Amino acid sequence: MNKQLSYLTSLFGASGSEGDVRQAIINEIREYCEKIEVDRLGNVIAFKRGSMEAPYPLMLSAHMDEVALMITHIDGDGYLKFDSIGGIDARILPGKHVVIGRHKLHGVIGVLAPHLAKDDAPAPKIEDLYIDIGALNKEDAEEHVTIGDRVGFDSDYQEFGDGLVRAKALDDRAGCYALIEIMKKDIPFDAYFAFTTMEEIGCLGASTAAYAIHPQYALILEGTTAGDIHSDENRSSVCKVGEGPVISFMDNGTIYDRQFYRLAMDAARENGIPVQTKQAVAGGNESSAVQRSWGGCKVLAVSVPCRYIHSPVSVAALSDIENTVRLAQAILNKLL
Amino acid sequence: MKNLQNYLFELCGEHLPSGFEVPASGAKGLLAPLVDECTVDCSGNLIGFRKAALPNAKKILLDAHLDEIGLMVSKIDDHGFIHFVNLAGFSPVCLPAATVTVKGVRPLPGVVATLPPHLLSAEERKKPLPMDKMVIDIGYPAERVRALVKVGDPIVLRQGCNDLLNNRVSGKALDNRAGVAVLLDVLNSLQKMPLPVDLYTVFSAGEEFSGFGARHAAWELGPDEAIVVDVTHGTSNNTPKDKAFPLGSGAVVGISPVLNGEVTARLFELADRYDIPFAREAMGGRTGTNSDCIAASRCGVATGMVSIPLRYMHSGCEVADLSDMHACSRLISRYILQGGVVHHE
Amino acid sequence: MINEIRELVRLSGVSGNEAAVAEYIKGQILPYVDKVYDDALGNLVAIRKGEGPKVMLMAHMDEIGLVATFADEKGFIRVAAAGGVDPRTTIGRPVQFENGVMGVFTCGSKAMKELKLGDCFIDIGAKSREEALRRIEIGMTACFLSETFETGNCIVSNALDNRVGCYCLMETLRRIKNTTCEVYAVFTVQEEVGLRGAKVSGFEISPDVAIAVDVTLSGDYPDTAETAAALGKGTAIKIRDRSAICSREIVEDLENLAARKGISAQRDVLSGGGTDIGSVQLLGKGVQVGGLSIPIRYCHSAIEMADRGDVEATIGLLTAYLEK
Repeated sequence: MNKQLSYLTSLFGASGSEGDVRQAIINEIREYCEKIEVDRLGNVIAFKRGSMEAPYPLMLSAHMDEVALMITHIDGDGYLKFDSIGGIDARILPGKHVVIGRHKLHGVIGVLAPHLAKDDAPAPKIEDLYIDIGALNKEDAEEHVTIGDRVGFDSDYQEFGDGLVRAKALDDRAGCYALIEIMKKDIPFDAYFAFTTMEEIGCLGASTAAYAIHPQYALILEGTTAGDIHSDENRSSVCKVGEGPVISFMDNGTIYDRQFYRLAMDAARENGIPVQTKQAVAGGNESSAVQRSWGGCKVLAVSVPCRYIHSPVSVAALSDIENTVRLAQAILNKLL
Repeated sequence: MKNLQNYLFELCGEHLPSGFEVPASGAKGLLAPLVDECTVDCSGNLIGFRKAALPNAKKILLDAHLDEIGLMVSKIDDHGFIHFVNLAGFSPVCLPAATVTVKGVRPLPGVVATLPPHLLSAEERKKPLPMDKMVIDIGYPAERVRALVKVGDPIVLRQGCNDLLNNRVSGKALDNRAGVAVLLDVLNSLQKMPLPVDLYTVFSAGEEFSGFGARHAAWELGPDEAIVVDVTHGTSNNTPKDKAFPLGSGAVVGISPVLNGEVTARLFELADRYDIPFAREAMGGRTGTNSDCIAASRCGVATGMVSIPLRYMHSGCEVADLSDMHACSRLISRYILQGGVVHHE
Repeated sequence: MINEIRELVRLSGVSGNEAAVAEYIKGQILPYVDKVYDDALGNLVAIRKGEGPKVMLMAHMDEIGLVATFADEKGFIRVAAAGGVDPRTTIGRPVQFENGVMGVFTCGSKAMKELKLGDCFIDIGAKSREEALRRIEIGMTACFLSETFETGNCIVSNALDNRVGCYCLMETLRRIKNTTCEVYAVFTVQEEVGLRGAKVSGFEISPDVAIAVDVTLSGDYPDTAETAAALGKGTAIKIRDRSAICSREIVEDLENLAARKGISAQRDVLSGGGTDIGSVQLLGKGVQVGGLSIPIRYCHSAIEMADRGDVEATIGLLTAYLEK
């Protein structure tokens, strides 16, 4: 079992509350870099010396935060209303187990028994759902829960099938894992490694991290949506789990630098690393914030394909994660 | 000495739609006596500065946006009717039969004209009117209108402030003159006291449009911390329970991933310690206020948010409770006096 | 005028792939400026030195277009939009990929009724996925092709948004004689996908004044927006659009100058749409922004129409503003 990945995905780090993840990462990387800073938005910015001084500032980043929920209201019967932190499809929520607040109070998201539901009921919306912690009434609930408490998915890490892994928060602990692995080895020249906050609510961390680093080249490691669950050859799957890291040419937030894209494709071919391109223009990541900081920066995103992203049970291939590490290393070697 | 209500009523008398905040002479006249320096920057922010008692103090920025929702003239037709577009924040719902002021060569009173129901089909009467089907009538023939009004002139609601029962007040632009009034009251209460921090009070421009004012101010002033004062939804009929707060709740303190946890915790602690009524407003995403851009300015600013419950937001009949504004004022004053939370770098 | 515009619209410059346009413009303006460089995103910056205030002029080089995302089994190429492509006004057009491969942007007859981009595809005459992917690559851009011609006092072409603005800016650089301003003429990238190029260029330059030269929607043809801008009424001085509210000082300066010089001008108020100053207005400690627009009909189609007099007025007023 991949202990490191299992550990990283087990930590809870909702956007804006990445403390546990941050501490774990700092402990992990301390011996592999020269300097670590934590900025006001909670980004971990580490500087690692390479064999050579860098000709220009280089930034590698992955975000620490994950999608989650937040308690917004406690009603008279002791049920908890909530909002989502980051983009969550409300249809995946009914019947799921969650943990609430620092003390990891257990709760469940209620669901109407099918016998009682109307046949033509519309898909649930977040505002229709509630968390049940078994409280007797409002006062009882208030003993254990405060408005503003963060709520995470209660989900474990499991390797299964043919080299696949199921866990929550693979987006983007897989990227954090890859960054850590890269830091453990020698790198060709100096680089900044940023473990960022608040990507899921609009890339706030990446924007202040990029402002501090002022990079000229940036490589963003991400988790991205794989839609390979249909068999229609006339429909794009966006990308496929197990077919290698995804190099994007464009998404809703960024048009990636063309030469950088080529360079990554060449690096993959020369090193025999399987890669795929994203066969759709969809989603976005912190590249957008990094690309447009200061007077602009050349960015590229390399992503681990994940099925059922933003759910308690995202699925990725361990080989794609390891190949993401190899690809990033190959890109670093070729950048110089 | 002026009180909160004086401040509020005077401020609401000014017409300051987004992008047209300068000169804001009324607001400036109220701010200037309370600070060491009072300036207007290039984006139209009104900025007051009070120096700390000791050198090398931490910088705290207090922000409340000064601008209000507005419309803009897009065309003058051959009958002298003014066609308009949304400048910032308006929904068409409260527009039919509203009275407005067109800021032409001089402020011109007008009404938002709609066809009377007698002339509409049953089908048409059921549908809400879209903005591009309404016009403004200022009572002059086309020629005069063209001399008095130009394409691009702003339009605001024409509405004074009124007292309601139980310390409640109603009017237009309480979003966010209520916040501005709170900050004036804070400065007023701190007037004779030495400050532990360099205090910048920013009445920012353009929040209802794109938030450009607060961005510029945060960038230029480079504060360590910021407290943003704005309005939040007040409970009335039909408002969702978890997204609105009863009038009289006190200071509504924001909780959001964007907002700094320590600043937020300190606000709760101070409210508790000084017996200031408060409520918690949890937002899973961004706040939709100036807090978002201030927090991400440069290398980041530790930001907190305090809101005033307001009914019927973005209409001509917004309702707020003065006691909530008092609670906000007391809480922010306490926060300033105890010097904030982050270390100055 | 028409010849240079013809040259400009002939070049493919879909958002993210503006290099060919930049290359052409660079060659044309080099003799008229002190320095030219391009930045990390591909913005082309031309500097004319001066002692006075820093004035940034922007015209975006990119045009809306298509990006290949997927080739199906039969060799039809599925696409995403770069910028605001409306399939209803672009369907049936010939397109050209950046490597020269030609095709048509089309759809099945069933899809025609309520046309969405997802129902459309590019047919390059390939017989299979393999053949299609031999001839083009996923990620390549394709631009719409059209004829460029004059009719009456109007010019009709694809990509007038915003090559006509580029032309105005190039011509202004050629015409200015004396200016105290330090002029930064920036031919920006990626405007159509969210004003991205201007953001980084504006940050780098940090100007005192920024003015965008772009096209605006006209309200003077049947069944269109209730906007006052019309073809033939002169350069349109921007008051606001969805992205920015212009500085009143700049609006007044431009209007007074137009009146004094007898240049025909009108006001431009748009509730939708944005232009490069939108992202520049949010930068740093603030900058005074303004805009001059050329009204066009049928914006974002392959048959955009502009008036020659409005183009001339835009160049005239911009030149006069810099010489003031």
